[in-house]
Amino acid sequence: MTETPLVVRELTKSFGGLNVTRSVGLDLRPGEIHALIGPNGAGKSTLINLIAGELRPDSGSIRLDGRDVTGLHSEQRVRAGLARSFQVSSVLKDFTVLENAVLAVVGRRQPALNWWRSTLSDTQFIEEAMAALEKVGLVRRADAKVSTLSYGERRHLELAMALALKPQVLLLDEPMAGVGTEEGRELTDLVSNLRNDCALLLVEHDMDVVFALADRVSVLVEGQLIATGAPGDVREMESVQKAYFGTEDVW
Amino acid sequence: MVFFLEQLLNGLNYGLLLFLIAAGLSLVFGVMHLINLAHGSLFMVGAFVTVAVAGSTGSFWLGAAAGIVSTFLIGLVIERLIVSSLYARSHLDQVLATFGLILFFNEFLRWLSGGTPLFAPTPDGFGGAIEIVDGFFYSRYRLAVTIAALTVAAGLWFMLARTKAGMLVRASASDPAMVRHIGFDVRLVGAMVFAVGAALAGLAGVMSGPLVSVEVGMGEQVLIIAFVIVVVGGMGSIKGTFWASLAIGLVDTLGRAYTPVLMGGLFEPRTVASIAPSLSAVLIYVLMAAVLIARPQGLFAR
Amino acid sequence: MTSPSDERTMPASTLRPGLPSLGGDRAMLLLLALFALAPLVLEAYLVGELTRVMIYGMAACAVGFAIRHGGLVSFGHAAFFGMGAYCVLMARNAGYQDALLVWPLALLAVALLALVIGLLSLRTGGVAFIMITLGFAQMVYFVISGSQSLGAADGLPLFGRDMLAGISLDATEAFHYLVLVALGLVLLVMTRLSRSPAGLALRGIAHDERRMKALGYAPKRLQLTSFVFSAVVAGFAGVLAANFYQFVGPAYLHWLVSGELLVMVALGGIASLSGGLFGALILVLFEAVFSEYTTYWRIFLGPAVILSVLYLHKGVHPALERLLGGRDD
Repeated sequence: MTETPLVVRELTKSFGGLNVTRSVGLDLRPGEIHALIGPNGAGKSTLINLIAGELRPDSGSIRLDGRDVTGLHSEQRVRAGLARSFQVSSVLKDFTVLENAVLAVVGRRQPALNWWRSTLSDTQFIEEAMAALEKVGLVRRADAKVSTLSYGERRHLELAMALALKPQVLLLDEPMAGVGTEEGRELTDLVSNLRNDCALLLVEHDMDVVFALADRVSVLVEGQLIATGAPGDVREMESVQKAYFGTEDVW
Repeated sequence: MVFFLEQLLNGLNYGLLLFLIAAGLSLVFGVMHLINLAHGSLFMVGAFVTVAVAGSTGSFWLGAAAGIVSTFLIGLVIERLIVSSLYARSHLDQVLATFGLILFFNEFLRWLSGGTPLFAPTPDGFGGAIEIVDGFFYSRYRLAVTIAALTVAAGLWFMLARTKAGMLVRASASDPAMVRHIGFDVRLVGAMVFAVGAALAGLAGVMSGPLVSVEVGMGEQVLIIAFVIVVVGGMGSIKGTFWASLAIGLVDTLGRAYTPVLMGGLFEPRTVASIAPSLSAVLIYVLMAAVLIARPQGLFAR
Repeated sequence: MTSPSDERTMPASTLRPGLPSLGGDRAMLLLLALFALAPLVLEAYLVGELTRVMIYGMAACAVGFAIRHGGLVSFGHAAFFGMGAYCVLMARNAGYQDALLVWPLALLAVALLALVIGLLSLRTGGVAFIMITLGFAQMVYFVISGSQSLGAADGLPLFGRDMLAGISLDATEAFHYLVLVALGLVLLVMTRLSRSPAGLALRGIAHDERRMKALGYAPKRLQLTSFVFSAVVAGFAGVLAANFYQFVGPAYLHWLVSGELLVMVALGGIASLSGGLFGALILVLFEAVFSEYTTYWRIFLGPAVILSVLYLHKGVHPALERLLGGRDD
C-alpha cells in the first residue's frame, strides 16, 4: 500500500490577532491534481507557504509520504520530496536556462556538494537537467539567458526546475498567472501530464484551468476549508456558491 | 560610590548621545530600507560647524544653531542628490555610495581644518560642577546635555507615537503602498526622515563639541557603534534602538571604568595597564556577539 | 513543442570546460602579462607600485568572491588582511623567517578567525551582516592595536622579507614575480571553485537565496565556506603586504581598508572574478594622478566613487572585455 503523498491536519496560523489559517486539513492522493480555490484573501498563499515550510504553523501537522515534516525547514522538506513553484516567477535571471536546471538537479545532492570538479564534467548532471528541460520543451533554449525568455517560457522553466527535484508532491502557486492563451494551453497540457510523476496541489483563480485539470477541488474561505470534492460536485454546493457570490471570480 | 554614580551618569549621557545618532540611522533604515554610512559624517559636521561658528562669533548658542541647521540642510541636499537614487539599489551600492560620502566629508574637513583637532569651550553658564546630592559633584554641562538629550528623545517618541506626522512615518515603514494610496508622497516622508535624522546626528555633534576633541574621523567611531546598537536593538525598532543605546553607553563607560579595577585584583599592574584598555574597548563588541548568539534578529525585533 | 529527434547536444554554455580556465578572461590575462613584463621595462619604484596593485587586487578579489558567491558583503575584511600581516610579525618576533613555515600557519590562523566571525555573523543576513562584520573587524583592531608586544599604535618594522626555501625575497623583482605567481594561483583556484557545483550554488544564493532554498539548498554552510575562503585569500594578501612594506601596523586593520577594498570591487566590476584587480589598478592610478595636484586628493575620490556607483553599474572590467573581443557577461 502506498503512503498518502501529503496529509495536512489541523493546520493553524495567526499573525498577531489575525487568524489566517484555521485548522485546515486536506490530503493528496497519489497522482492526483488537487486544486485549491477561494476568494481573494482566503489565505491560499499562506497555506502554500505553511506546507512548503517558509512559515511555521502555530499548531497542526504535515506528513509527507508518511513522514512528519512539520518541524523541518523548507530546504529540508525539498530534500524530503516536496517542491514548489512561485507565484511570481523566480527563476534565476542572470543564469542560463541550463544552469537553472542544473542547479535544481544538483540541489538534490546536498549537502555533499563538490567544490573542485567543474560542473560540466559531471555528465550525469547535464543529462538529468536536459531531461527535465525536454519535458517542458526548453531544450533548444538551453543556452539562453533567462532574461531573454518570454514570461511563458520562464513558467515552463520554473516547472522544469520543480520537476528536476523529483518530488513526491508539487505545490504550484498560480502557474497560469500572467500567461497568454496559447502558452496557457501548452502549460495546462504540461501540468496535466505531471500526474505521472507526482501529486500536485494547485492554487488557481482561473476556473477554466481548474475544471480542465483538477481531479478534486478544495475551497478555502477566510482561512477555513469549507468543501472538498470533485469539481462538479463542489460547484453545486450552497456554501461554496455563497462564498463566491459578489466577488469577481466567475463560475 | 561617588565614582560609581559619576560613571553611571556618564554612561547614561553617552548612551543618550548615541541614541540621537542611532535613531536617525534606524529610522532611515526602517522607512526607506537604506543603509547610510555617512550618518557619522553628519555628527562630525555638526561638531565642526559649532566649533567654527562659536569660535568666530563667540557665542556657543549661535554655533549650536548653525550646527543643527546646517546638518539638516546638508542632509536634505544629500538625500535629494544622491540618496534618493539609492533607494532602489542594492545594499552594497548604498554602502559604496555613502562610503564615498564619508571619504569626501573627511577629506574636505581635513582640508578646511588643516587636520588638527579642535576644541570647543564649554558654553558660559554651564561650566564647572553642580552638587547633585550631598558631596557628589557632577559636571554641569554633562547634566545639561543629558537633560537635553532626554528631552529630544521624549520629543521624538511623542512625535512618532502621537502626531499625524509620526503616524505617517510609521505607516510608511510598514506599508508604503498604502501611504501612497492615501495620497502622501512616500519620498517626501523619506526625505524628511533623512534630514531630521541628519539633524539629530548633528545635534549630537553640537553637544559633543565641548566633551571630546573635534577631529576628522570622529564620525566613524560613533557610526560603527551606532551600527552595533541598531543590530543589537533590532533593525527598524526605535524602542530597541533606545534601550540598546543606553545599554551600550553604560556597558562601555562602566566597562572602561571598572575593568582596570576588576583586573587589578587578579593581575599585576603592568598586565592590567597593557590589556585593560583593549579589553574595555572590546566589551561592546562582546555584547554584540552575545546578542547574536542568543537572539540574532535583535533584542526588540518585531 | 520540440520534437523527440532534437539532439541533446552538449550546449555551448558558460559551463564549458576547456583550456586553462582563465582563458575566458582576456582583460585579466593581458593585465597579468603586463605585470610580468613590468620589471623588464620599468624602474624599481614603479615595479613596486605594480606589486602593490597586485597585493591589494588580490584582497579585493577576495572581497568580490564572497559577494558573488553567497551574496556576502563584508565590511570587515581588513581584519583578515591585517591578521595575515600580524602573523608574519609575530613569527618574526619569535625568530621565524621561513615563508614555507610562516605563511601556511598565518593562513591557518586567519581561517580560524574567519570561522568564528563567519559563524556568528551568518546568524544575521542582509544589512545586519554588513554591520556585524564591521563590528568584528573593529574588535580585532582594538585588541591588536592595544598590544604592546605587537607595536601598539605605532606598529613595528620587519627587517628584511621572509625567505622562500632559502631564497631571499628582498629584491624588488624577485618579490614582484612571487606576488605575480601567487596572484595567478589564487585566480586559478577561484575560477575552479566558481565553476564547481558548490560555486554555482553560491552564485545562485547570491542571486536569490529564497529560490535556492526552494531547490533544497541550505545556504549557511556554503556561505560559511565561501566566507572563510575569501578571508584566507585576504589574509594571504596581508602576508604579502607585510613583506612588501616590511612594516606592520594597525593601519592594516583599519575599517577604511575594508571600505577601500569594496570600492576596488565596485570600480573594477562585481560580475567578474578579476574585477577587484582592475579596481586596485584604477585606485592606484587615481591616487598617482590626483596626488600630483594636492595632498587632499581623496576629496576627488569620494565623488568618483559616488558617480561610479550611480552611473557605472558594472565597473570597468566588462567594458574592457568587450574591447578585447571577449564575452562581457
